[in-house]
Amino acid sequence: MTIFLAALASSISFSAYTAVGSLGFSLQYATTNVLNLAFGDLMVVAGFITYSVEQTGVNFFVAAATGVAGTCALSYLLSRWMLIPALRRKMSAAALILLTIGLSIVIEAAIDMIWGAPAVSFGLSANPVLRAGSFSWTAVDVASVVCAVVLLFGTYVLMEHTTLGRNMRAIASNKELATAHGVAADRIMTISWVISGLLCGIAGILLCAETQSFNAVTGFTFTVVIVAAAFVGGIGQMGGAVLGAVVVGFVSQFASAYSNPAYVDVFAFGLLALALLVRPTGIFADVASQRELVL
Amino acid sequence: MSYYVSILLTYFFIDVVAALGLDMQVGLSGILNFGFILFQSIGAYTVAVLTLGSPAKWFGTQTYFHGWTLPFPVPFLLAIVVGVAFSFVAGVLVLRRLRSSYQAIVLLSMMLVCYDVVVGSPSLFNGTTGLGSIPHPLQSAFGLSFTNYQWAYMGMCGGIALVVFVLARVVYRSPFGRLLAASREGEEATEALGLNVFRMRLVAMMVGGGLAALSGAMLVGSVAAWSPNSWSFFETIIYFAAITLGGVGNGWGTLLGVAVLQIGIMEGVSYVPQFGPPGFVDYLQQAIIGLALIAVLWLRPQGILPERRPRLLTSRRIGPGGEGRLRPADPVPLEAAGGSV
Repeated sequence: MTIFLAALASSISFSAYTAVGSLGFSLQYATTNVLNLAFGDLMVVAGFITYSVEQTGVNFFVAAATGVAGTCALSYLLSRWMLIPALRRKMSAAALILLTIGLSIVIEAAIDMIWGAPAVSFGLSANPVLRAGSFSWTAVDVASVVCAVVLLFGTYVLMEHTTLGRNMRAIASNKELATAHGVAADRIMTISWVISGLLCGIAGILLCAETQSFNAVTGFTFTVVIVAAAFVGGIGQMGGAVLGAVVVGFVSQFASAYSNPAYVDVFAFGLLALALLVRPTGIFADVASQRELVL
Repeated sequence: MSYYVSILLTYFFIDVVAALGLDMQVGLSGILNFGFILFQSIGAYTVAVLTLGSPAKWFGTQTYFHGWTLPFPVPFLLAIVVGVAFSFVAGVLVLRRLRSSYQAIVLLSMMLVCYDVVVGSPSLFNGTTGLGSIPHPLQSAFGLSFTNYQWAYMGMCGGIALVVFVLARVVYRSPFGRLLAASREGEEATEALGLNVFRMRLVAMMVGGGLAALSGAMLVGSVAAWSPNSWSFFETIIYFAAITLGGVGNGWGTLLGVAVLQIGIMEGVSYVPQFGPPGFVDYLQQAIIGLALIAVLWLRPQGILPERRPRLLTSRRIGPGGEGRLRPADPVPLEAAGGSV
């Protein structure tokens, strides 16, 4: 029971910030068809900007806002300078993936050069604020669940009840047709990357706060976790991204809690391989589409 | 200095073998093997446990699940066998239904799972510390000095690399190689000719995996140690950057890419005195590899030495000594060769 409650607490908070990241990743994939393997590295960039601003003595929330603004700006520049030109050149899917891998390596090297390789920490309190037996949540855990709920609801409203969301869905389902109907594809793609940059930044700060200490390599490992969540749920679907994050979160946290805690990533990555091999469209693709959360 | 040159050349030959293996999968067949380094590592660990002998003799300084002492060529050959077997399994799982970006993700996650298991279970291959004191093949047999042995080993690696290079060139030009290239460019068109693309790619996967394992065996024979540090995901990316930079599918491009990135940037620079803050040179190398990959994909996606496009044979081309070996009857779907990298 002790292990169960502890694993439950970590599963929920882990799923929460993974869902935010996986939502951003899926949004990028849906609108631009790019598997952005530099996503986790961008998340960690938000963490490092926050860390640097916080070091100057500014309030943590102001620092976090700067970090999120940073990834939004980076995401904007990437879409304008790299992504849209690449799509215009009709680069193959393989070349696009390699491009994001190259980007990921450059970002990691840049982080190492600017901030150094040793892990840093925000220095937030690790004292539990919510406790019931061995179920304990720190303020960061609570924040990550609250952020996730707000952002998921916000993204849902944006996608389903606004013109912008409708245009994004149109681009996702058929870019040529949408363009022919007067949707400015490039502009919508850039906007969707900025929005996913926002999700990416917030997820990144939550990740960095949750892992206590983080460095350049934190990003890539988490990229694969995010990819796992996105694929398990059904790639490119908003509802699927969230469901996938919950499944990956619960399976990896519970399985590692009951076997070997060092294997938390093994279960997430194994689930990813299994999901793709068994059902490439996503285990929960049908569930997600029934609930009309399909993008 | 002599030692330094022999080491660089040894690395060059070993990396050529590995890069040709990757080129067989990525360049020729379009299998985006992001788990490539796993197969090199399989070869390395196989040789390590087959030559280290019983774990008991290390009195707990290094642990591994079991050990044997086999004479020289046997561990290398078994490494290739194990590498081919693992590639067969991975290929059967991955190549049948998934499209290439999904294959890449599955192979990557397979590699990461194995990596984390090796790190997390020190009883397998000594965990993060890795295995050390692995005997150099045949070092005692000839009684050579250390430097002379390095040169001899370099010669052996050079011989292996030459054989692999010549064979790879034969494969590129063979009907089978051209079929693989055709299936890379147009999978449906190739299948419409009644060819089993899955089976052809499986063969490419196994050949590439075998070469990767062989390169791992050669590396362990040279550096006498192997740990998770030796096979991080970044190592795979260096190979990808090398073959992309040089140009895939022709062998010469692979040689060039390996010489520039693997030897010039990665190994060569390691011997230059460090400057800047600690670790700065390593990060600089990493940034250069990433930027080189981005720049090549952007500026010259076909690489510096591009793959020769297949040409329709006219009667002019068929003659004694010329390209007469290529018979017009060869079933190469030239029309299928539509896109580029």
